[in-house]
Amino acid sequence: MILLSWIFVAASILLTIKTWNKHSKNHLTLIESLFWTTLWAAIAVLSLLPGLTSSLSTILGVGRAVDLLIYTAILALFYLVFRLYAKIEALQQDITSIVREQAIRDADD
Amino acid sequence: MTKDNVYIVIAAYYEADTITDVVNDVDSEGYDNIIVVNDGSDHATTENARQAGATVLEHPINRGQGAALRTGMEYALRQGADYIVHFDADGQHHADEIQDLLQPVQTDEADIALGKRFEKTTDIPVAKRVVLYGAILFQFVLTGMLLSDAHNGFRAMNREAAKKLNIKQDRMGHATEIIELIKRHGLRYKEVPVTITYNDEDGQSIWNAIKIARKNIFHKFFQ
Repeated sequence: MILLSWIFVAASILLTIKTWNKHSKNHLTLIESLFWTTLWAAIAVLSLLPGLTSSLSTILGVGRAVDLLIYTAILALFYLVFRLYAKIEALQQDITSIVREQAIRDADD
Repeated sequence: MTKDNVYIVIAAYYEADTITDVVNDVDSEGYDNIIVVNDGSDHATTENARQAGATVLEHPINRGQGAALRTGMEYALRQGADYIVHFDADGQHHADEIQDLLQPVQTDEADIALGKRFEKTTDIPVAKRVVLYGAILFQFVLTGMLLSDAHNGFRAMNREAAKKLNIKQDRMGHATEIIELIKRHGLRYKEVPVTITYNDEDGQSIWNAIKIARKNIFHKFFQ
């Protein structure tokens, strides 16, 4: 194994610990914690078994394993950004609802 | 037709200079139920509107014109309004045209009347025309409704239409959202010629128009 693999494995372990620490403080739900743990575990496994990504990239028709990782990472990042955007929009609407009720209540007083 | 059950909703953001005249003009046409929603702007806007005789609701923080209009509509509905009119705070709309907009709604010809500017307004700046034609086209692509105007804030609606126009887009995207809601709920609409008086600071820049388009697309496909 190369040095980078050990770094990825160490990072995955640390991030897993951090994830469940956040779960214990109710900052992440169980589903969210399991999702992130799966992601960190996948990173660790792929870094320990680089041949696995080569096989996957061959099956999917992508030239190199690193290309497959980059494409997958970009797709995942876009999805996460989309989810964040949607959550922000939902929060904005919640804020507006609260502001509205306060304005109407103050006018009635 | 009685005006006691008509509520005029005016969303205001730093309009201390114009709001007194606007409220007075509306009041002079016989409309007593004037709701000004101060959307998180200066206290002078609130004070001037109150002194002119309006009921003022204040957003403690700025939420956008769409949010302010919905707040005013919500308040008016709770007060028992049968008809609600959207009217701008910057002096662009003419109070003597409120009845023109209300007429098709009060005679049950339509659920909502939408102001259209190109017939009666002659001095529309070229840049503004370009943005407006683009907005009309965008509105058509997104909603399937080809109207004569876009982002004309002068509207009149009956109570049922007001309940259904549950505006979720807080900022300027609400104008297109309203058209979408009209189509979705099958509301009867009629376009009525109105006059828009432009001042020096008017306008929606092309950049702002692009931002609004982006939000409308997201809202349509992902919410």
